[in-house]
Amino acid sequence: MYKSTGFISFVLRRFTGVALVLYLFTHMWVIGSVNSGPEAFDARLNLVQTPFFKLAEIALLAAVVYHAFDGIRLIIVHYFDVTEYRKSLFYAIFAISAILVIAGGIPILLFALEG
Amino acid sequence: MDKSHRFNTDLLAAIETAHLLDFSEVIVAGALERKESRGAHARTDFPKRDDENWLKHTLAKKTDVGPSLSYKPVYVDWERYPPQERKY
Amino acid sequence: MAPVSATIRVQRFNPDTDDKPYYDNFDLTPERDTTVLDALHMIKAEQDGSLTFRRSCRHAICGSCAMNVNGHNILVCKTPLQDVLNKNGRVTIRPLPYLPVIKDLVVDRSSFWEQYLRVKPWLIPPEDIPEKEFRVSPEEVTALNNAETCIMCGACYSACQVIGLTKGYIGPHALLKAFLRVKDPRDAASAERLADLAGSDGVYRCHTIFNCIDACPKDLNPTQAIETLRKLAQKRLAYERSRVQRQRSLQNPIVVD
Repeated sequence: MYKSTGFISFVLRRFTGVALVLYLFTHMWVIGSVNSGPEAFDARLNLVQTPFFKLAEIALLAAVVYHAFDGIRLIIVHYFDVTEYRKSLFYAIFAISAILVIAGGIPILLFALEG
Repeated sequence: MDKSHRFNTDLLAAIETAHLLDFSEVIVAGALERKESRGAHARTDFPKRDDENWLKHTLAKKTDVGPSLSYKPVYVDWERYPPQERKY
Repeated sequence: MAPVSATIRVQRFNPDTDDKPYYDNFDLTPERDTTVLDALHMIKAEQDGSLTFRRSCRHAICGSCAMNVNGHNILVCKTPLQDVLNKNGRVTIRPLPYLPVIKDLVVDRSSFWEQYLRVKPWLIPPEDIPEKEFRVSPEEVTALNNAETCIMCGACYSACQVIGLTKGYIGPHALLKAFLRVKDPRDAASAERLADLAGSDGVYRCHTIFNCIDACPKDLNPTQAIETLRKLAQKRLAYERSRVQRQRSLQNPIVVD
């Protein structure tokens, strides 16, 4: 196994990417229940209002934010000759993602604890 | 010592050493016969280059009693590039 | 200061006799200028002749001795032992990862060469070749500097996780050679090359992990070459036209302003 920041970014990118696809199916499963009438929709919405799902939303936020910024990093690498700064770029997008996840995660967490 | 049948670099080195010995013998035999100095072949007993007698290739054939030497003329374009001694 | 002794931990494996790889420790006393390759030679000569590794030129030009030392692919011939010893004077040497091991530190590089041949790494000249020589400007030569000093050691190929995951991937070494030919002003097949490289095994299979840059003993940049090929592949017909234009003037003297 060849460990490097590039490999960490690759694993995180793959992991968050697959997780987001799985999330999309869950999302459709919840929203799609509207076809079965208001009762079924409410029942499913109640199911995902539990504290576990609210905490999972923080993970969702983390996955979306990291995956998006990693994509931006790859676009930067593609269009500008910045392979020299590959490590700094990775740390930068990781730091930005962490800040955004913390900033967005605190309200979600407070809301989850309230509910 | 490596005695395996797979990628045996010890055996390879032994075979190569035997070839080195063969070629050393050829080089020494040829050099002893070549009574002149030419390029990297430098002899203190014959310090001068001798185009008259030694403008030729040495060929060696393997025999039971060591290398047997013969000679082959060198192709020279006398018109355009007549051979001359190098002086530095 | 050189430590008194060093412990070399080498992964050993002979598929004929061993069930699985194991590690052997060898103690030796290095000099200040002992390279990792020198240490392996010392072990082979003095301790265990059955230790098997590839080596040839000893000055980083043949590309035989790429190995994985402390988790990094390097040429052991140009790496001083002192640089890779940890504070306990130990170093771990493994064969190149992701490649089948033939014996000890020798790996099977067949796939490496197969992928290399896939990109047609030779020059395909235009039909109307100039009477005398091709004239190539210094700028055009400089643009190839990234690729032309590759020694085909396999360090990048075996550092690439995509190689480990996808057997069909062309690989950083071959894509770097393809870059060399695509950017070569004398080459007449850039459009076909780019069409091949844009396939599912080609430049878009790269996940931009950058391990090839980290591993390259010649400080080349395969990732940048791959990114350049991606850009050119998107406009390959326009690029081909500009090449044809350029090749019409290949026999003319270079105009330097």
